[in-house]
Amino acid sequence: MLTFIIRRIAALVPLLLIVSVIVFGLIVLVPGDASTTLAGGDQATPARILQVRHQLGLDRSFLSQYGRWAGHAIHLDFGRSLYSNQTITSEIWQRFPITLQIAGGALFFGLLIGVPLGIISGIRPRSVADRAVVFGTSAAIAMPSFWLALILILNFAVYRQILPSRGFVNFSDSPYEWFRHLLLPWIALGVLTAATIARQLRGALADVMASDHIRTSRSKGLAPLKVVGKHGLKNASAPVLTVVGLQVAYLVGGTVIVESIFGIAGLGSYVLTAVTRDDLPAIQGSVMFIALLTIIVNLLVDVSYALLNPKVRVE
Amino acid sequence: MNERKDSDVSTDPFPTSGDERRLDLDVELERDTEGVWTPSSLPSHDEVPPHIGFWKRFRRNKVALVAAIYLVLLVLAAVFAKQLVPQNPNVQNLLQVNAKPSGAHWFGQDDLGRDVFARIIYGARISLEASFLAVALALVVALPLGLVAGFVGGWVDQVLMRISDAIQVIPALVLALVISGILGPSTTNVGLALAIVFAPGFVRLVRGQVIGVREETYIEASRSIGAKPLFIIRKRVLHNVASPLIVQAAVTFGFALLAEASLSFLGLGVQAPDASWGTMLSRAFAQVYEAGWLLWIPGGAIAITVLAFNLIGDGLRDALGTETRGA
Repeated sequence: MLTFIIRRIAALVPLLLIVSVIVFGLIVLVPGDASTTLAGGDQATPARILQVRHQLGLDRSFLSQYGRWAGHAIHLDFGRSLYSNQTITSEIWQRFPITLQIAGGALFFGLLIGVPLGIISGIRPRSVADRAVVFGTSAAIAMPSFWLALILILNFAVYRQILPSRGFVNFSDSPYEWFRHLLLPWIALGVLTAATIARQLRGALADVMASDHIRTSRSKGLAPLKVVGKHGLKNASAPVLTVVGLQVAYLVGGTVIVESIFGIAGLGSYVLTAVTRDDLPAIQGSVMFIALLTIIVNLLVDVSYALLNPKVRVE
Repeated sequence: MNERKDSDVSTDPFPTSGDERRLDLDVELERDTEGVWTPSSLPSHDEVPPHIGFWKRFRRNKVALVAAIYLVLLVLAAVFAKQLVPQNPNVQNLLQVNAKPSGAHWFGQDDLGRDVFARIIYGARISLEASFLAVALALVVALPLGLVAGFVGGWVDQVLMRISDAIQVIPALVLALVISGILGPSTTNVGLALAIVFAPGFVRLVRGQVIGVREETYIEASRSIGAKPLFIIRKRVLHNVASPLIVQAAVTFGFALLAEASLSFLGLGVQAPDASWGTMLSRAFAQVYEAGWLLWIPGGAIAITVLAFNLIGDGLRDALGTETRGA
């Protein structure tokens, strides 16, 4: 198991290298002269252009620029934003916990709704309950999550003023207000996750329930709940785990738009702000951070997959 | 691009398909008398070639058919918007701001008194254009790369796959947002950004299909009679790649539409006063306290169209009889 983990981590080194080249290489997409565009385009003063050029090292070759950037990025040091005096890393760390609460809550919501639905429909495929779940999840998957966010605001914050339409409250300040402010973002993001998990679990469970060893455990008189819990879910959990891993990337991406709708200053809205003001170092830093996050989640999924299924370890 | 795929499906990729049908009969006979044949022992290309009865099978799926008709109508409406819609989508009427739907304005009027129906139709044009650009460009880039990765293998394959991995590690919406944001807000740039985001998925799919068929006997046979690699790709491999690729393209089109709407909602797509469904949503959201109902129309248009693409994808998958490999 340990060698499996070590091998997996070793395989991440080239991946991280390529990701960093791609992320740093975003600079070649900047239209026109990079230092002029990044300094504000036509309104940029010559002094500001020079300052930007110097700060980003744009007067040097691409390779030496990359080397300098990557050398710092290894220590999670992404330099300074073009617009604030704080380091990008400290800004990311301030905002990351908020995004974690949004994405984590949405994932929790997705599991809370998706797993029971998946079990209900997976145990008896083609039953009425199953058909209802399949129909509901199809609709949920087609529903754009940002539109869902807007509709939720319309119904719960505008028509009925039960929940706040925007903002964020720290858990330590008021757990109740924290929950009220995050409920709509969680639902808006989590509905798609719930539908995806339910679908995946339904498929996996239906396959497992049709297999011989389930028939055996049924015929030897094992209680139905135990059949599902001990034999069915255990075998059906691996595919679901993969989906959960994929959902994390979706959720992080989704926070960009959900944070902007709900006016929450998280990592997602940080990326958006950086993009709208052409703050290239902040863009590079936050994208690299997000990529790192996805890589770590993928690693965790891989490892737990190997824990569930010993065959994976050998391959 | 579409032309090529269509011709691949409609021209006969199996010059020997007559033989294969005879082979099918043999299979039936042997199964009847001895029962030794199992479906899994049949090579995949012994199945009825996908284009035979494709339309028949697709038509049987009523849901997919309705979705296809809806999309054809939508595309026609978008193309002939000028002829179909009498109202100019950008003409303001400040005397009728946020007016509810009426006979003259089917979907009502927005915060500047512009006709929402006209803006939906003209917006469809922009949303579909950007999505089409994204999918077409991704296919153009990914098809040769996937073929090369699958055929050549070795370090070329390794490098291409690692780059695909690296792109896919960045959440799709974040990457699209960042690329289109750096390039500057425009419909073309959104299409470009989405093409970069979608290309790895297509590369993976094509590569998977190529590796799947590379070792098949009929490819080996072609090679042994001296067929050139390009000929084999054109006549033997592309056919196997085409079906799953078409399915994937349909589903990706839906994703592209959704992503385009998200990006223009965030202000990175088409710029005012032109309409796209995403910008209409963001304007409607700014008016949520005055005219919340405006949210339903562009949002509904996005949801229905994305759903239509997904349903068509399902229908195509059933009609073409493909399971996607690799992606």
